[in-house]
Amino acid sequence: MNQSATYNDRVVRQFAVMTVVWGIVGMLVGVWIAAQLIWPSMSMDIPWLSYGRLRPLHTNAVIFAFGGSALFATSYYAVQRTCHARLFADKLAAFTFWGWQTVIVGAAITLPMGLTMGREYAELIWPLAILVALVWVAYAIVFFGTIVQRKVKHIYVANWFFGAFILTVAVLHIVNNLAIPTSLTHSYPIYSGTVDAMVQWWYGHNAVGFFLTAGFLGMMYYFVPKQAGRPVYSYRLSIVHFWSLIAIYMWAGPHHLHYTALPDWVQSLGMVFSLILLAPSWGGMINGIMTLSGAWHKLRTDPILRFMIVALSFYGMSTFEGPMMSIKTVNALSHYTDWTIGHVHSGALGWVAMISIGSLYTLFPRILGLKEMYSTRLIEWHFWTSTIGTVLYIVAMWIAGVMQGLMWRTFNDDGTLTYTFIEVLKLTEPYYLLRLLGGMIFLSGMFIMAYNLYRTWQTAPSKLQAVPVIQPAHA
Amino acid sequence: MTSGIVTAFAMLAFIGITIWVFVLKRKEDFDEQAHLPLDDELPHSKESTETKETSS
Repeated sequence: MNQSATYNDRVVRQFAVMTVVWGIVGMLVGVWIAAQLIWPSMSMDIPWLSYGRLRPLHTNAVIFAFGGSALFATSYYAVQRTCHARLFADKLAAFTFWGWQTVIVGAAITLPMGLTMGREYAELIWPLAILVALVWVAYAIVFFGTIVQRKVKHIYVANWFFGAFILTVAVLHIVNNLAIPTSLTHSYPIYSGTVDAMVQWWYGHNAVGFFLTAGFLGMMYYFVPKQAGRPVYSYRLSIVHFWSLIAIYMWAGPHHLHYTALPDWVQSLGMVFSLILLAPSWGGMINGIMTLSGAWHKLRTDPILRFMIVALSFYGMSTFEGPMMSIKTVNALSHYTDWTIGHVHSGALGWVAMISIGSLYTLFPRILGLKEMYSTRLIEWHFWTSTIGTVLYIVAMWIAGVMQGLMWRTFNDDGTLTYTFIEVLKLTEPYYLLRLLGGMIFLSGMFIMAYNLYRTWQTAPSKLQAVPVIQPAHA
Repeated sequence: MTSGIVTAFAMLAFIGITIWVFVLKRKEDFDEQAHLPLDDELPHSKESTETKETSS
């Protein structure tokens, strides 16, 4: 069969399997450092097991290794199917896979060694940062090259979101990582002081907005209609959603720097744009959930759809919470407390992980030449462990965070602090235990997924047939 | 002054997109696009999902 007449599902399979692997690794490190916060002696004075080195390993592993692999897999799948064209440049696509895995392994070695650029969510040392940039450019060529070769007139909305995610992350990564190397493992950023902080959080918040939101919305716009078997609720809304989301997200970064040396008007600007963000975020959430309108009964029997709808609900919840926390007076209470950690995980576990897991369950049978996963019951189990784990985690962090914020800002009449740091810490301990429990339950679901995938793979035909590109219904 | 112009421009762009999407573009065009993720599998796999739907 002519190569160009089949889809390139090989690279999709590779990324999809690594998503599960890195999910387990990243969340395991998360559970480990959650336990370290309760029992600090767990590090046994071994430097590369210390919290400060493992925490960036956790964030990099879950965001870029787990989330990144999920985005590569789903975007490569969706763009081929909705364009009715094979992925552009097979070799370059293979390079994105092996290059990205090299970056991840490099991160797993350098971060525990304490080698870091010291920029949050951009810790990787400059040689690895350059490899990230190269992989990303290759990703853009493969993705947009496929779109150029499409056999249909239109570019489906999911591809707009994936495309915006790819382009923006390229710009963010390169600008934030501009640095002057002093050795193979060390460099100084070209920015300093407040400008450095602003660049860092312009990057940091847009990593949330474009990596963890736009990319996963692309996933949502393809896999929710696919799994529900019906078109998205309103295509018109999806276009307004797209343009308003990407136009507004760019400006929300300063809310990470409230009450700092950043000029006050920039802080207010960040707050206002964060508040406006509620509108497109909820527009997207409603569009996703309402896709099931008239087919709600499917939720009873299909745990995969349930994953997606609960993910959208968590998305709605955290995009309501986020704008609220960006209000300066609320931020005065919430910032530097565990409330922030709770907010992040309601987005990361509830939205990002659950929409990825749901999409992967839709994806795996299709790239293995099967009708469905080995066990729907196990998907059901995974659904409940994910939901319960996430709820326990965020509730624990909400209580801990509000308590910390209130205690830290209680003063005696003479102006001294009413509570010492250690008093607050002691009261936080039970919530840290609850968070650890929630994290462990969520992680257990990932093991269920790995087992289900293993059994599904065993039932797949021993020699996988390449799927032929089908003729589009409308040219 | 400049920020005022930028704000006005951003607002006009938003209104423009909304008018374009809700007034100028044809509904059939969007229906066609919205069905893209549903029309991308071979008929036999589509049939199987349809039979599943009727049985549930």
